[in-house]
Amino acid sequence: MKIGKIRLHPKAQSHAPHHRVSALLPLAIISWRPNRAFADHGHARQGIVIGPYNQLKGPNDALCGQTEGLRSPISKWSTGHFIDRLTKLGGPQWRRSGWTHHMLRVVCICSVFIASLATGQTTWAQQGLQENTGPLPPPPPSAAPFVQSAPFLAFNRIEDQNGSVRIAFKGVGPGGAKIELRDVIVAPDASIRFDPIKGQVVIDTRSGEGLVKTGDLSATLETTKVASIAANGRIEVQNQGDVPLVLMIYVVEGR
Amino acid sequence: MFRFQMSLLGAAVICSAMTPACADANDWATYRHDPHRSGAQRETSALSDPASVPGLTVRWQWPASAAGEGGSFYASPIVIEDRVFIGSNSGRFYALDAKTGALLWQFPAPLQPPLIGSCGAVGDRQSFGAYGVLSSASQHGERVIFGAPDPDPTVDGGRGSGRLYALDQATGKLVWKSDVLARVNGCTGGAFKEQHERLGYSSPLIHDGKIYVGVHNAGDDPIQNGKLLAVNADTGVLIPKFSFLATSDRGGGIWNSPAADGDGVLFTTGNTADGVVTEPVPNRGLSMMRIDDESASIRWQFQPVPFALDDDPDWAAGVTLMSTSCGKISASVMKDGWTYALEPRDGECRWQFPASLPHSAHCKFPPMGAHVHGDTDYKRPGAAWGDVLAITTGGEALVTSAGVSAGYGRLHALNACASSPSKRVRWIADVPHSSGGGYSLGSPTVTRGIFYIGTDQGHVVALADPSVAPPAFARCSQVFVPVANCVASGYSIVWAPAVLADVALPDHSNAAGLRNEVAISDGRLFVATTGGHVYMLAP
Repeated sequence: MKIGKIRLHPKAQSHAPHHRVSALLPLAIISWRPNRAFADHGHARQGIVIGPYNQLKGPNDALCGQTEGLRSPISKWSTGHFIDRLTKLGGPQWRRSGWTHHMLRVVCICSVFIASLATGQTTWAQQGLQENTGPLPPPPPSAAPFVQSAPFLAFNRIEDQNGSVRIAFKGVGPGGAKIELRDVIVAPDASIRFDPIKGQVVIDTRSGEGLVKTGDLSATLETTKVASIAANGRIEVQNQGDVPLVLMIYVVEGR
Repeated sequence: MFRFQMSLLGAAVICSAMTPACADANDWATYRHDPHRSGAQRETSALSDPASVPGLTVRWQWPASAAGEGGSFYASPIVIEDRVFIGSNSGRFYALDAKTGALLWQFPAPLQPPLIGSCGAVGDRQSFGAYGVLSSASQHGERVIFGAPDPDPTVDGGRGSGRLYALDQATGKLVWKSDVLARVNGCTGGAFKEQHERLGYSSPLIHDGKIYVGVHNAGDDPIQNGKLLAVNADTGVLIPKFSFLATSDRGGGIWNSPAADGDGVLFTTGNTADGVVTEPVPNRGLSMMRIDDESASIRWQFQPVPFALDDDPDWAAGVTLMSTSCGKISASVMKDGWTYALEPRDGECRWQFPASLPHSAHCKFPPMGAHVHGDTDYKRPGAAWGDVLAITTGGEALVTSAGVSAGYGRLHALNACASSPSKRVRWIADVPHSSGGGYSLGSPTVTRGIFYIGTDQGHVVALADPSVAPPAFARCSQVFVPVANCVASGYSIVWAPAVLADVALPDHSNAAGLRNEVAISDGRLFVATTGGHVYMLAP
C-alpha cells in the first residue's frame, strides 16, 4: 500500500484564516502530500485495503490510484480539503450550530488522531518486544557444543582459575632468545596467578582494565600502558572492570 | 460518509503504527530497504516462515546466458511494484520483470555509450571515472535515481565526473541528470592537484524533497575531501546552501549511503591521515555524524579513533537506525572491526563491541592506545530487527593476537539493549559456503527474524534467530574460547542459529560484493553477483 505522507507541522496556525480550526489544533496534521497513490488497488497483499469511498468511485469500490490519471482526484486534495475532511469526521453528534461546538468537535477529532499517532509510534518503538527480540534464554548445559568450526588456537583454562590462556607464537629472537607470545583472558572481577615465568615479561593490555602484582610491586593495566616485569617473578593479575581483561604477554627468555 | 471517515481514521491509525514501512510496504525501494537503512522487510511472507524457507530455490536468472551481463554487480537490486532495478559496473542500468526476469529496458539504450568515463579501464571499480554503477538505486515517486560517471566529452573531457541520473521507472527515459557532484579532472594517480571524486558506493537518500549522496575517492589515490551534497529531487539541481565538507583539505570521504530519521541526515566518514601529515582542521573524518538536512550544519560528531591512530579504519559501512525497546539507536561498524551504537539524538555512545575501553572513555580510543586501527575489511552495514543488530564485526576475539580476522565469514547478532556487555552477543553464525576471508559476506537483510546473506562463494544463506526456529548449537561468545572455558573466562555461552537454507547460485560467482545485499520483496529474494547475474529466489 502506498499512502500519502503525513507530517506534523509546527506552523498549523498559518491555516487558521481559511479553516477556522488552528487555534485549538496544537499538533494538527497539516501537510498532506500524496506521493504515489492513496492506495494501490488490488494490493491487499501489502496489508491494507482502504474501505469504500463513495464520492470518488462509487459505493464499495476500494480507494484506488494506480495511474497518474486515476490519481488526479486525490492528488488535488489540498491541505484545506484534508482539514475539511477532518472536521467532518465522526464523533459525538454535536449540534451543528455554534462555534464552540465546532471547535470541540475539532479538538475531539484531533485528539483521536494525535492519540493514534502516539500509539502508533509507541507500538513501533516497542516492535522489539512484540517480535520477541529481547534477550534469549541462555543455552542449557545439555546444549550441543558448536563443532562445525573448531576454534583456531583455542584458549585453555588456567587450571581452576577464572581465566584462559593460549600460546599464540613461539620462536627464537636475536641472540637466540626464546620469545613467546601468550594471549591471556581474565574474567571480570577475577584474579589469576601464574607460576614464576623464567623470562622477562612485557604485558600489553588489549581490552579492559586491571592490576598486575609481583611481590610488593603493582601496576595498573590499561590500554595506554605497557607493564614490564622481571624474570622469575610470581605474577598475579586482577581484572577490575566489567568486561574480560585481555592481555598479550610477551615472554623473552635470554640464553 | 461515516464509513469513509472510519476508513480514513483506520488508515491513519494503522499507518502511524507502521510509520517507517508505510511508504514502502512490500517493496524494497532503496539500499537497505528504507531511509533508516534497516535492511529489514517487515511484511510477512513465506520468507518469514521458517517452515517455508528450506524450500528456497532459484526461480529465474537474468541474463539467461552463462556469460552474464558483461560486467559485475556490486550494487543490489531494488524492487518496486514487480519491477527490479539494478546497475552494473559496465555502466548500464536495467529494469527487469520481477516475476519472470525479463528485461524491460536498459539505460543507456543498447547503441548508446555506457556510463563510463575515460579515466581508467572500463568497469574498473577502483578507477577514477570508469567504474559504472557501484551502488543501489533509490525510488522517488515514479522515478528511479542512481549515481554514475558521465561519459559526455563536454563534461570534464568525459573523464567520468559523477552525477545522479533520474529515469522514468516505466520507460527508462532520462528525466534529468543532476549537476556534476563528483568531479574528475585528471587521471594521474597520486596527483594532489587533480580531483578524483566519485559517487561510487553511496546510494542516494531521498528525503523531504531532496536527494542526498556522498562523495568519496578511488583507492585513496589520493584521498579527496569527503562531501555530502543534495539536489532537488524533481530537477537534479544542486542545492548550494546544503554542503557538507569533511575537512578543509582532504579526507573524510563518504563511502556509504546516508540515512534519515526525519530530523537530519546521518552518515559516516573515512580516513584523513593517508598522505596528510598534519591533522586537518576541522577533521570530520573517521566519524559518525548527524547534520541538519536543510543547512548541513553539524548536530554532532562521534570520532572514536583519533587522527594519531588513523591507519585507515574508515567507516565504510553506513548508519543503521534501529528502533528498539530501549529507544532509537544509530549503529555501524568501522573497518577495524569495532561496532558502535550511539544515541541518535546527541551522538552519545551507548556501547562499543567488543567493549574494550572503560566507561569513562565514552568509546573513544586514547591517542596513545595499543590497538591498530587499520583497514581490516569490516565494511558492510548491519540489519536491524527489533532489538537485534546482525552485523559482520570483529567480535570478542578482535582484541587478541590475530584477532582482526575473527569476524570474517561470521555474522554476529548483537542485543542492542543488553543490560551489560557480557550479554551483548545473541548468536554467532559461521556462514556456510563463505571463504572466511575479509570480503566473504555481503550485507545481511532480515524479515521477521530470518536473516539472509550472500557469500563470496555464490550462495544465499538463510539463518533463523533462535526465537523463530530452534538453534543448532551452543558456542562461546568469544570464538577462540571453547564452551567448556567460556563462562570461567568471562564470556557467555550463546547460540549458533539454524541454517534454514543454503542455496547455490548457478553462476557460482561472488554474491558478497561491497554493496551486495539480498533484497526481500513480496515473498521473493533478489540478489546479484559479480558474475553479472541477477537472481530471484522463492520458496
